[in-house]
Amino acid sequence: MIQLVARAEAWFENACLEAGRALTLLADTVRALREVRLRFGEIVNQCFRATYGSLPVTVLTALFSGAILALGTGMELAKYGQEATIGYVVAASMCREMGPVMTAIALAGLMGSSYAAELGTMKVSEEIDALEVMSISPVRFLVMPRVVSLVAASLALTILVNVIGIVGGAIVSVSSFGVAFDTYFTNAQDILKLHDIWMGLLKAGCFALSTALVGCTMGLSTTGGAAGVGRSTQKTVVISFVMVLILDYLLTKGAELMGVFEAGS
Amino acid sequence: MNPKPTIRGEPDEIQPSLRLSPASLAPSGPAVELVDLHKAFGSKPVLRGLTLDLLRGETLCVIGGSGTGKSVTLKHIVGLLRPDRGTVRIDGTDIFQSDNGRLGEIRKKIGFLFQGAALLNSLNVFENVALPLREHERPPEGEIRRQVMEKLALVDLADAAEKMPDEISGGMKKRVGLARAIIRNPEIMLYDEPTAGLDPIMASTINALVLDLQKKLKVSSLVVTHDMSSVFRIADRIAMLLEGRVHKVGTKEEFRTSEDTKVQKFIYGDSEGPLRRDASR
Repeated sequence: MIQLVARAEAWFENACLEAGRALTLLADTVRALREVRLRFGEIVNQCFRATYGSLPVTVLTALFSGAILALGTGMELAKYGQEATIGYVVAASMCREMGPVMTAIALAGLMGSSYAAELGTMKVSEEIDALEVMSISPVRFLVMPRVVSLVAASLALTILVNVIGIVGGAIVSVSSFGVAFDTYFTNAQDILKLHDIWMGLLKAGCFALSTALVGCTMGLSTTGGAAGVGRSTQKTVVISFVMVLILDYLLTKGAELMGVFEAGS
Repeated sequence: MNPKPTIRGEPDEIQPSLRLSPASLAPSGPAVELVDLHKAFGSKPVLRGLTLDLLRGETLCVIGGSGTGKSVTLKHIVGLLRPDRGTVRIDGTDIFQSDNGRLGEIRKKIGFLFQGAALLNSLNVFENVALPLREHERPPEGEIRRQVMEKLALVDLADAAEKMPDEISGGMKKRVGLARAIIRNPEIMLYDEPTAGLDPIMASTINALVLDLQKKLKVSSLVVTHDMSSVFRIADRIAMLLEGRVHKVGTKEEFRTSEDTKVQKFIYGDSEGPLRRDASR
């Protein structure tokens, strides 16, 4: 029992330490934003890598998410003869929740882990030390461009995922429930308000920020050679996934408390 | 063990040869001062009161068995590690009392050749060497090219400028690392095993470069190495570490003629007992 408590204590201490590192890195990254113009080329490179590299996964995920959403809700709504309203459900769900979350999950798996592996490998091969010895801040040189580019890429990808998800839903609505395209899209348009889009994009930005910071923090604190890089990568994926869900809840609750959804409806 | 008095009231292991001559101190003191450094990793102490000075313009070779704290000492000099006790002064400035900006300025005076070269794998050879210039001085691109190609020519790698680090050998990486370390004409050079893993000809080339830098640029160099032939070629003074402290400091001649069995065993690579050979051969 005492051992269990000691382990829990050590885990909690470690978690607090890593959270502290991530927050310090966030503060340093914000300070490094003044070099955005100087690092513009690298930001564009990283942005291209994040969007282009994640495109196949996000497009497929979005298409099938919209399709599954339409199929699941359509079967229930059809019982009440309300299948024409599938467009409401799919559009609202995609833009408010599923689009940002699906994108974030894909980016956490693809880019967060990649950041941890890259920076972790650089750390164990003394490349990070070499930068520091040359008076080049790893935060300005490596972290800031990755954070900025992942946030930008996630915004672009979320918009794309929302559109493709709605289209996926439309295909199923038309083919399985005989809903006319016009009806589906008119309903989708009716339900969507500007604040739904903004709220979804705000979430996407926060998820990407969290994923990039977790990946970079884990990478920069890697020790123990190749095995250490593996551990950092694994921890990044797990923590990023959990953070996406926690942040999603907090942001949705926050929006609800501020009356964002009621005000716009 | 020499019973003569020690300097700075440090442990007996510190030899009088550490004491700086008034002449060498006269202009502006040592380039680097390591003062009573203590460092432990977990429960394992690595440095246990290391005190050593790198004099201006000299080449000091630090030798010692594995785990005696040679590389850890280098990392303290550039502030990559913080000591548990003691401090490091560069040109008289305590680097652990300096803020990040000041530490950055101090680091600009230092060139560091890492054991594995530590080249950035995402940049090609040219970009690796150009990196410190592009990040700090930011001269026109033509000037960067001129300086980088000059340094690459110095390490005989002008032809490899466009290659990526994974396309070149370990020895070539080390030479690129050296070109990068000297691109900003540092006042102090730190070498971590500069000839390890190199063929004899390339090792000789690196040794010649170390000597050349000292001669032409009056660079103060601290070289951590196990390669005794290099030590006897390039060193002005030698410091031997043992159990995290300086065991002996002296000139090449003092080491060659030392009666200390530990010194003899180390410099002649004898695992059984002391051997007296002509180190110059």
